[in-house]
Amino acid sequence: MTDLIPAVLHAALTLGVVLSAPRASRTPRWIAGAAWISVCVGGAWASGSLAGAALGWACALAPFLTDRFGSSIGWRGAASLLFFPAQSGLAAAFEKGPLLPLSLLLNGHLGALGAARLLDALPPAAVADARPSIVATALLGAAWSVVSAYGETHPRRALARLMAGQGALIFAGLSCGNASGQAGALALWQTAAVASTMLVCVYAGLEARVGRDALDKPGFLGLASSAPRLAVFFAVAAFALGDLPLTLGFPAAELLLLGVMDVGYIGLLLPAVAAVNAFVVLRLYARLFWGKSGAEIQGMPDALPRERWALCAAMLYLVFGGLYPSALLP
Amino acid sequence: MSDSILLALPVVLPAAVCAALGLVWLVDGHPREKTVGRLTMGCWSVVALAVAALAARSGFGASVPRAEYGDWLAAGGQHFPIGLQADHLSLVMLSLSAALVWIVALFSRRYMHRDPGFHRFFILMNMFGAAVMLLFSAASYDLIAVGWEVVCTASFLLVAFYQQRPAPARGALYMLAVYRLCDVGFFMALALLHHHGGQPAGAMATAIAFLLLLTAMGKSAQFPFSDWLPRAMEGPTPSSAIFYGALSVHAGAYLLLRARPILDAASWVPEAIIIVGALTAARGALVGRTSPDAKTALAYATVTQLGLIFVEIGLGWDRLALWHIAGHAVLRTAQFLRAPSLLHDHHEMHSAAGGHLAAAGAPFGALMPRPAREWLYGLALDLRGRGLS
Repeated sequence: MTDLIPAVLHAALTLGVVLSAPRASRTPRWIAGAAWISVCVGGAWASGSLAGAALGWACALAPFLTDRFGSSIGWRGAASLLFFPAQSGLAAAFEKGPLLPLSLLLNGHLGALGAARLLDALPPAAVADARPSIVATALLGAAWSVVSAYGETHPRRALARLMAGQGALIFAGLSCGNASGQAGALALWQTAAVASTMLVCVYAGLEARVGRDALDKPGFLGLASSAPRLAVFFAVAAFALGDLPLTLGFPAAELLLLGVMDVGYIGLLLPAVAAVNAFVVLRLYARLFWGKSGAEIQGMPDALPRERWALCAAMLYLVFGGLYPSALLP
Repeated sequence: MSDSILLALPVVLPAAVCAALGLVWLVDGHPREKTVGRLTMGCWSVVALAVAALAARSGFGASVPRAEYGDWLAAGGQHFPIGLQADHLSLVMLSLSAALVWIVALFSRRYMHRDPGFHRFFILMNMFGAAVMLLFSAASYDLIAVGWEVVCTASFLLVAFYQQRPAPARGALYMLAVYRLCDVGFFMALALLHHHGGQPAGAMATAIAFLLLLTAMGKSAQFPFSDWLPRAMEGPTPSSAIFYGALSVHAGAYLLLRARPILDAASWVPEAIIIVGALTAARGALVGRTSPDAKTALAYATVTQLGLIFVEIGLGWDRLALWHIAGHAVLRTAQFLRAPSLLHDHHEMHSAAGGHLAAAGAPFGALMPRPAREWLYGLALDLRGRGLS
């Protein structure tokens, strides 16, 4: 049952992404590629084995190498889609590659899943000895990602690093070896998948409306004046990714914290990582949506009905998870 | 009506109003200002009555009404129960919050009239109100953390209410940075509390108490985190009054009062609280004298009083600190709400006095030699630039 939750959720996310994607990019090839990623990610989680995770990860990369989405990211970019420690390549892939399919792939967090399955396959005694070091490495990886995100000025690169940080935290939870950590990792996976997909969908929608150059400008861009509903969707997703209450992110962080604390005091690093993570994502929100808008943004359409339904469903999922988390967790 | 309903009403009702107004907006609804105002006023009237009923039923603090609502989260072998209570400390803060939010809601109906963000303001005010009611009635640190963080979120959005201007946006980000930095202490303390079964002793109690002090310093704008408060004044006046003058800033002091058993088990923490409070009060008093506008001067006056409240808590004078919080919150709300018409009042007084109105504070200043006054003025200007900028 636990392994089926990610598979079902990822399929729903893929549907949402296809619905809300800009019309110009939604070719049959593009939709088939997105569906393929979803099948691979779902299969990798549902298989419950190391081989399944590895096969799913390898197959999910195929559409990117066969140029399904209009731009290939190459082998180096594909290799960098591992969760840790190849974040620099990941940011570059996000900057140049197709944003929505990349987020679908990364939100499978198959790197974290594969590493956790590998730990399951190793002798328990060896894993028990190494567990504090593994959790510490994962937490330090997450810290590195969020600190790198703090230094990023391009939204696409910042989003990539934030998602990489979430992957490292999910791995920390999965490798804890206790029930709290596992439940926290599953909750965090749901939060990260839904919230960062929302962020990427909103951002891709904004790019389609005003162009990429306009969003890369420094300072406050003031998009909320033209697109207040997109601003709300982005804000709720940012609150969830920042582990704030009334969203699923908060119980996920609580459970994860208890899980990593059972491994050792290195777990105290988690609140610091979460704090920087929240600041970075909310700063990104402020940069995009606050301030006085320029002439090119005036008259920009707000959330279209197809975007509104998909994003609304994702938002309700995050809020419902925050109010009644037990329903979404084993 | 049972205790469980009376305790839940102050949290659930404003949250429901906030959610309803938010959903209406999301589906393109445009309720009239009058409807939004009446709904909010009605909600807070019921909340005030519920708190009054709780106070009466408990014999004004003689007994402690408590209610459990099951587990919020039961996963991975962990249980987080939802429990609310209304002991003496909670009752004072709940009464204060209900009364002040009611007054500010009444004031805001006129103050925010025809403002394009009228609807948004009332959504955020109800969200903030629900969060403070949860914070002050929570029976566990986990639930306090929920209220604490929602207060942080609502404050972030309220400071940047006039989001088209860059100054409020920068002020909100600065405040968020300070809050997040200090809240790290809260979550570390929570983790340690869970890890040690909720009853720490010795060095662990000291560590947890220091972490809680760090948390409280951020929310209550203590030195060196004081400078977010003047920057937060970029928000609408009613929100400045209720949030940064009355309720939000006192949450830190409340946390320390609530954590008294941990403080008592810790070493050196009361002394640290006194030092932090005294430094904050001295700096606030000095820097406030050089403030160029009324709201900033009021912000530093608030910082000064918060410093004194911390000193009282450090000395163990909890009852005095609690009444100081109550008195200060009421006074500051009144002052902030009068701030927009301060110039008008001053002109009226000036003409009523025949143009001979003495400068405020002049008699005390005259007691000090001129070089000392000038040196202190220079020091205050210097300190103003040395916050955590």
